[in-house]
Amino acid sequence: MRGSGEEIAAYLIRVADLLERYGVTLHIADAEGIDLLEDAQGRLSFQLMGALPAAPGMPEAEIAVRERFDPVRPDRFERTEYEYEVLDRERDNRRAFHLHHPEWFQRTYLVVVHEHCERPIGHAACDHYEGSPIRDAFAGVLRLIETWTGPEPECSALRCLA
Amino acid sequence: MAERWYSIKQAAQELGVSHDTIARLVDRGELPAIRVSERIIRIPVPAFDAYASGRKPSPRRVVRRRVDIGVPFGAGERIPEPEHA
Repeated sequence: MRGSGEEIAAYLIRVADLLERYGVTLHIADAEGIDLLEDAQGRLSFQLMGALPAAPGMPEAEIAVRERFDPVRPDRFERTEYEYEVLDRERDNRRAFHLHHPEWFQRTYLVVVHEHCERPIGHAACDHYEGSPIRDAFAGVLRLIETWTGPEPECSALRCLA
Repeated sequence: MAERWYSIKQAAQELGVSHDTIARLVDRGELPAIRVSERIIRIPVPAFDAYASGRKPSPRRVVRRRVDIGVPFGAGERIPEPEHA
């Protein structure tokens, strides 16, 4: 995913729309805008958080979508990091699909992306699992919804990187 | 635990329409769904409820803000700090 600052802002709105169409309640007041942060290095980043419903009396599932874009030339950015996460409190598990600190992961494990799997939440048999790259936040959202609607994760079936 | 997804048949029953109508809505992307395989489609219940109630995504705008540090990544993970020469 790459684009100008304006294109990334439009993309961010489409990602928020997709989450809402899948029934995620975003933690953004309607009157507020969605923050697209520009840091001191000129990088852009955003975070969308929301919830999926649970059975009455049970805690909701928490959804998070984060992305960072590095400037590659004037007003042109490229996605360099992402985190897509679902904290399923009702079934007591966490799944996360990550790309961050790519140099460290490449040097240490010869991979760029990794995943997390906790069942129950807070219990990880492995710090980082092997994962597959996720093309953009639209695919990330689908992966999260697929995880939430699918069977309980089998963490032991994943390949541990450590 | 409440049901998390409907099959096309269940969604058709819920809305009182035909199987083909739901399949068309899914194909056109009007009813969000997850294609598990060529033949298996899951319609997440929250997505179905949003569609059935006619609820539309809220109109949003993006506010670009300058900050010292952006969104943190890898929070809570054990990633050693880069070594400086």
